[in-house]
Amino acid sequence: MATSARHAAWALAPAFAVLLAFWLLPLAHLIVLGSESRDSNGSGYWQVLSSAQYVGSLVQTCVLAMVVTGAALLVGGISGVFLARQRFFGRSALVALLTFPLAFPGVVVGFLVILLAGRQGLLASLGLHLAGERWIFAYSLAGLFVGYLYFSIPRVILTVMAACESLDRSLEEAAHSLGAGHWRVVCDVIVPGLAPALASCGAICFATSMGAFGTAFTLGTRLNVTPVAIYNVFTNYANFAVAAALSVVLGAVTWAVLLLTRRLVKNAGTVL
Amino acid sequence: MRAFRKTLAAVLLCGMASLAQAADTAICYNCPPDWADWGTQLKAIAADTGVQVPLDNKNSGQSLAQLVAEKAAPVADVVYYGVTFGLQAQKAGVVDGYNTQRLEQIPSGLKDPAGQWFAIHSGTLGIMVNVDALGGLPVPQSWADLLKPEYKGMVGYLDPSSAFVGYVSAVAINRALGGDLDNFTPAIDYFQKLAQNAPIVPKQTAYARVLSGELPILVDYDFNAYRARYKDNAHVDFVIPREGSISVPYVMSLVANAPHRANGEKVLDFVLSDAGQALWAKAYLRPVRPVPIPAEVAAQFLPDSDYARAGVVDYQKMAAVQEAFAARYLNEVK
Repeated sequence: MATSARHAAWALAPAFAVLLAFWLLPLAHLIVLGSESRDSNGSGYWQVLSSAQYVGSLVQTCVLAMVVTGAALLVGGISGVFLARQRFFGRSALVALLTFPLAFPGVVVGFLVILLAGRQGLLASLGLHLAGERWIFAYSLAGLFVGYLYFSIPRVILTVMAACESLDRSLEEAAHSLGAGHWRVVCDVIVPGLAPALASCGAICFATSMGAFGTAFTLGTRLNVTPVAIYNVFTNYANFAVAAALSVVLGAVTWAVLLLTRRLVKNAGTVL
Repeated sequence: MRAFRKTLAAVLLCGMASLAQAADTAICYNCPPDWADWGTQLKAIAADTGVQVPLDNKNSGQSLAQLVAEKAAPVADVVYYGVTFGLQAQKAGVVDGYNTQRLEQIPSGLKDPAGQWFAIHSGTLGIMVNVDALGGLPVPQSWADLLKPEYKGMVGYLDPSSAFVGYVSAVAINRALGGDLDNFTPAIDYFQKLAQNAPIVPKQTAYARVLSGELPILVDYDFNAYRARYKDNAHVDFVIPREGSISVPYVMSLVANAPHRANGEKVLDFVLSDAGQALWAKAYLRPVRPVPIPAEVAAQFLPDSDYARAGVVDYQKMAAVQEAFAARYLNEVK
């Protein structure tokens, strides 16, 4: 018994070493770094939490990520169910096209938004023809929203399609035969069935949007999302304490929101 | 076991080969081929001194951050960055003094007395205009022109809280409109007015977007505009605004405890030499030492009467108030 435990310890040692080297140590370093102070301004955490600018940026990033997640779940959920259920010519090509942006870095997504809604974009020339003025929203909050939505939707579609395959269709047939309308079936059967998948890919979308950097950096919206704020304090002033504190706070806020959602979904699950 | 020994020997040999190669190498942070024609400069360094310097694509801020992070075990020998970053690096204690004899020829505001940083060349801030993308509108001649409604959605400036060029723009506009480093209100007022004109505010260099016409008017350096006009043959004009502007030096430092210090010194000597300085002029950056500029290059610059409107500021103070300004900009310009 003792030997097998020792064997297990040896077997786990590499995994533990990797965990230590690539996760625990850097994270611990980051947390400690955030509590250091520079120029006697108080610790990094204090500077972040007492500054309206940083807190405002965190709140804005959080709200943007939530709205993006909600919209992505709605759009991606509907199209995911549709694509999983329907068979038609060109379906697999469409799925491939829709999930193509998964691999795009944020910078590319940013440039796609500029191509769509920049000064020389499609919408600008359309607006010039129709209304005599260029329609530009690439550099506003709307541009950032579209960019984030663009890289969130493929994740939702993929997860929902997979979850749909394992949905028990006989439940829907039973509901139909008991006289439930189409809308009732969606609300009472399909959505609860997909709830775990929706919750988990919503969590991924939210976390990705919280940490997204490239798109915001490329578009340069006035909204200063937290990852860009971290880049600014890190590179412009080499202020490691505030940069580390911002990262830790960003991580903590994301984690807390995810935890809260999971609780809510779990409670709602028992009610449904 | 024999195979293992062979591998070991091979690894050792490789290690020694790379050490031998390292003997003639200097590591420079932020020597990108696309900026200030570092590509040609580094080739000239290799040809003249035998020191190989690999290209490096960091920007000023990333270089500073990396130097601070590597303070205990430095990797770089020399570093090139905007002047305020040099001052930040000095404050962080990551650079060393280098007392080259050519230091005396650098004007006093453009170097640290102990040589912890010194200018190698400078650029002047102004308005870079893609004339073809203006749609027939006149080329703006002043900061005030950019506020006119006909330029709505056409004007870009780099984010002053994010890019060094953006901060330089803010200082230049502030000084031109009557402010100073203790009073940034004129710049804040100006950016608030400009915000009504739907400006585009990139966080990093937007050179390509000016050339493509996406961004017809950009507040940027003279050397970028000249490069667009004469090297990339774009129909680009450069204007030093009527109200005035500033020139900003780019500086280099020797890294503290540099692993190849002697090679680093050779690099610094070369960029300040007549040959090195002439190369900067060919890349449209004003050499810091009074070396003769080739006539055909001098003719491509705007006339000296225009450059008379570009002043200098106290760069130490400019660095000291940067963070406070960035915070104020983020709070007040929306």
